[in-house]
Amino acid sequence: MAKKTDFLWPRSPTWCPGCGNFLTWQTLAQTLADLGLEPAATVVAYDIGCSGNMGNFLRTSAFLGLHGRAIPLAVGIKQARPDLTVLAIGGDGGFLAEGTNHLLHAARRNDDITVLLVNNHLFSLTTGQATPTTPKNLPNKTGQLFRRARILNPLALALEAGATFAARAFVGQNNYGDILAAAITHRGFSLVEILSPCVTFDPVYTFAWYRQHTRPLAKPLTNRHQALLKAEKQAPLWTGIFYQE
Amino acid sequence: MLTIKIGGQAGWGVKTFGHWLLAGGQAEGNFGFLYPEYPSLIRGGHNTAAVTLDSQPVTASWRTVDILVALDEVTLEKDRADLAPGGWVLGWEGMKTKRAWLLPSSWRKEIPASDWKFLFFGALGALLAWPLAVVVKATEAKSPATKWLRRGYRWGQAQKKKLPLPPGKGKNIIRSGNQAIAAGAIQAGCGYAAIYPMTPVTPILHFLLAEQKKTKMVIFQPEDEIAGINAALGASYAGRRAMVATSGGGFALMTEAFGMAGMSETPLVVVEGQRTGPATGMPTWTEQGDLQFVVHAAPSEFPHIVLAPGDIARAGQLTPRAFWLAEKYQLPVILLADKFLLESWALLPRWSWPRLTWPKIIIKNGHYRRYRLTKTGISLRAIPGQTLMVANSYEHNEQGLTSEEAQDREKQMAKRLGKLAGWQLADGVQYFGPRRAETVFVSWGSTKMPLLAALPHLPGIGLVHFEQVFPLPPKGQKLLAGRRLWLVENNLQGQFGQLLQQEWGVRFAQKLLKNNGRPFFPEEIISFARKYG
Ligand SMILES: Cc1ncc(C[n+]2csc(CCOP(=O)(O)OP(=O)(O)O)c2C)c(N)n1
Ligand code: SF4
Repeated sequence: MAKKTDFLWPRSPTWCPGCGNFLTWQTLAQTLADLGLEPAATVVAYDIGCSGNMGNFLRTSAFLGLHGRAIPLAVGIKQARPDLTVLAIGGDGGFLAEGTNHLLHAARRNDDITVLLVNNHLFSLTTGQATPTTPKNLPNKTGQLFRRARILNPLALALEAGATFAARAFVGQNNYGDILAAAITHRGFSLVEILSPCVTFDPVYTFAWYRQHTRPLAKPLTNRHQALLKAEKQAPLWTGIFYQE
Repeated sequence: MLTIKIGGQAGWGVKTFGHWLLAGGQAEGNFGFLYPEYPSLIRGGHNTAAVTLDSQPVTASWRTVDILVALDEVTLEKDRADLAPGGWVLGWEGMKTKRAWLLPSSWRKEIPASDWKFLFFGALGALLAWPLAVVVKATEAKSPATKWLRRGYRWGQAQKKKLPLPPGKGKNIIRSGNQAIAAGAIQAGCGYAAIYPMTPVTPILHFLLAEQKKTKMVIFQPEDEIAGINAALGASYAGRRAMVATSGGGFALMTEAFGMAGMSETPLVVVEGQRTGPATGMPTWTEQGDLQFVVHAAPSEFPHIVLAPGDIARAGQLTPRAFWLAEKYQLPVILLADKFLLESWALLPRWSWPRLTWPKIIIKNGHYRRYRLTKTGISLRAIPGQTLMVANSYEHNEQGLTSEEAQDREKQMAKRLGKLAGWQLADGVQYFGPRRAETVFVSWGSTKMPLLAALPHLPGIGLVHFEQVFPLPPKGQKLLAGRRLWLVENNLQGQFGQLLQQEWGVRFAQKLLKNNGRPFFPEEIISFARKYG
C-alpha cells in the first residue's frame, strides 16, 4: 500500500514560504495514502495558477492542463475511465473567472469528480489581480475595476447547479484531511472550497484572520437550500461539509 | 446521366425526396449524388435537392437540370435558370412553363403540402420508367401516404413524354460525408467523441449516438467546444481513442487546447467541417475558407497533420487513418472537410477500410517516463492506472514535470518537431488524367468531386489533388513541376495556392476561385478550362 511519501515528488515546492498551498499539498498526500489509493490510479487534472503548480509536487498520475480548463479535462478522464479516482485542482481565478461554466455544468451533470477550488481571493500567479471572489476590503492591483461588481460564492453556485457534495475547509483547520477524504470518496460531483491564505499578496485574509472568523459546522445540513443559505453567510464563515446527497 | 432538382419549402420533405431518388437509383443499379441546399431555418424558406443519377459512377451533381420538380412557384422562379435547353418541369397545373408535366390543381388542394412529395415521387418514378415496386420501396411509405404515391404513379404512366433512366449494374450504398466519417471513427475503434452541435458536423453526433449501443463509445455533448476538446484530451490521456467534431467557429474556441494536444503529445482527431465564414457567416453553406487557419491554429510551434478528404469514400477511408496517425505520432490530426462534402450524399460502391497496425501501449512500468527522448522523437505511451503517467501543457522534462531549463526546452522541442520528419501519406496526393498533361488543375479537399466529373470532358488536362494538405507531401512538388497550373479553390484568396507558393515557390497560370457559399459545379470548371485552354 502506498505511503504518504509515495504521493510526494522529491522536489521542493516553489510556493512562497508560508503559503497555504503547502498545507493542501501535505494534507492531500496524507489523505490519499489514508484512503488506500495508489498514485498511478489517482489522476489529478491541474489548472494554471499557484495552486495548479501542485502538479509538480504531488506525485500521482496527472495532466497539467490549461487555465480555467482543469474541470473538463478531469471530466473527460473520468468519463473515459470510471475506474480511476479523478480530481481537479485550481484557483478561484481558474474556476470562477476563466472556467466558471465548466464548474456549473460539471455540478449539474453530477460528474463523478472532486473539484478542489483553492480560494486565495486573487489571481496570485499573475501577481495579485481581482478575481470574482475578491472581497472589497482586500487591496489588489485591479480592485478599482470591480467596485460595483458582486462577489461570487462557489458553494452557493455549485449547490444551485446541483452539486451533490459541497464543503468548505480552511487549510489550517484540524479536520481538513477528513473533509478532503469525504469529498474524494463521495460518488458524484464534489466541490471543496479551500480557504488558502496568499501570504504575499493578501494582507487581510491571513491564517490568523481565518482562525478567528471561521467556525466549523457540527454536521451537514439536510437540505440543499439551507446549505446554500449557510454557505453565503460571511460572519461567521462556516467550514465543513454543507451538503451531501 | 440525368439530373433532377426538386425545390419547395423547408418542412415539405425536399431532402427526403432526394433520398428517395437515391434509393430508387440504388434498386435500379445506378450511381448517384445528392446535393442539398437549404437556408438556416426550420420551416418555410426555399430548400432544394439536386440529384444526378447515372449507370456510370457519379462524382458530383451537375448544375444543369434535366427535370425540375417544382413543388411551388418559387422553385420555378428561382431554379428555372438551371434547366437544360431540353429540360422538363414536373409541377402543378397553372404553372407557366413549356415542356412540363403538370399535376391537376385539384390535388394540390386535396392533399396536404407535407404529403405532396408522395404524389410527385410516384409521378416521377413512372416518368423515369421505374417499376412501381421500386418506387414504393424507395419511400418505405406506410399507408395512407402510399395512396398518393400510387395515384401519382398512375398519372405518370399516362403521360406521353417519358425520360426513362436506364438501369445500371452497380451494387451501391448510400452515404453522406458525415456518415462516412462516423463510420470511419467506429472502424478505428474511437472510444470517445465530444461534439457540440454545429452545422455541418451535427449529423456525426447523431450517427455516433445511433450506434452507441453496439460501439459503447462515450459520447459527450459538452457545455461548449472548449470543454469538448479538453475533455477529449482527458479521455485520450486516459486511454481512449478520442475525437471532436466542429466547424470553424467551434474550432476557433478549441485552439488553445489544440496546442495543448501538440505540447502534451496527446493523440486527438479533430473533424473541422468548414462552412461559409467568418463569424456566423452563412451557416448552412459551403467554403474552403479555413485552411490557413487550421494550418496555423494555436500559438507557437508544434507538429500537427491536416488531411482533407476529396470525396465521401475517401472521407471514410481517411478517418481511421487519421486516428492511426494521431496515435502513431502522438499529435493532433485535423480532418478538414466542408459542408459540401459532409452534407452531400452519394450512391457509391462500398469502400475498403485501411489495414492498420496500432501502436502498442505500456501497461505497467514503475519507472515510466512519458516524454523519454528517443531517436524518432516518439516515446511509448502508457495509460494511467497501473502506470503513473504525467502529461503536461507546460514545457516539461522527460518525466513530464514542468521545466523551464533551456536544455529541456531545446530537447523536447526538437523531439516534438522531429516526429514528422520525412513523413508523407502514401496516397496523400493523387494524379488523375493523362500522365503527360501539360496543364493540370491543382486542388485539395472536396473540389475533387466536381473536378473529376469535369475531367472526362477536357481531353489533355490533368488533375493534381492533395488530401495531405499539411505538412505538404514532397511527392506533390514533383507532380507539379514543369506544368501549367490552374488552381481551383472554394475560397476567395486561393489559400492552398498561397501555401504552395510559400513552401515550394509554386506559381499559377490561372485561378478558379469561388466563395459565394456554393460548391463548384462541373460545368463551371469546363467553361473555365475552355476559356483558358
Ligand atoms: C488562457 C490564459 N489566460 C491567462 C493566463 C494567465 N494566468 C496564469 S495563472 C492566472 C491566474 C491564476 O489565478 P487563480 O486561478 O486564482 O490561481 P492562483 O494563482 O491564485 O492559485 C492567469 C490569469 C493563462 N495561463 N492562460
Ligand atoms: S503568491 Fe500567494 S498563492 Fe502564490 S505561492 Fe505565493 S503565497 Fe502562495
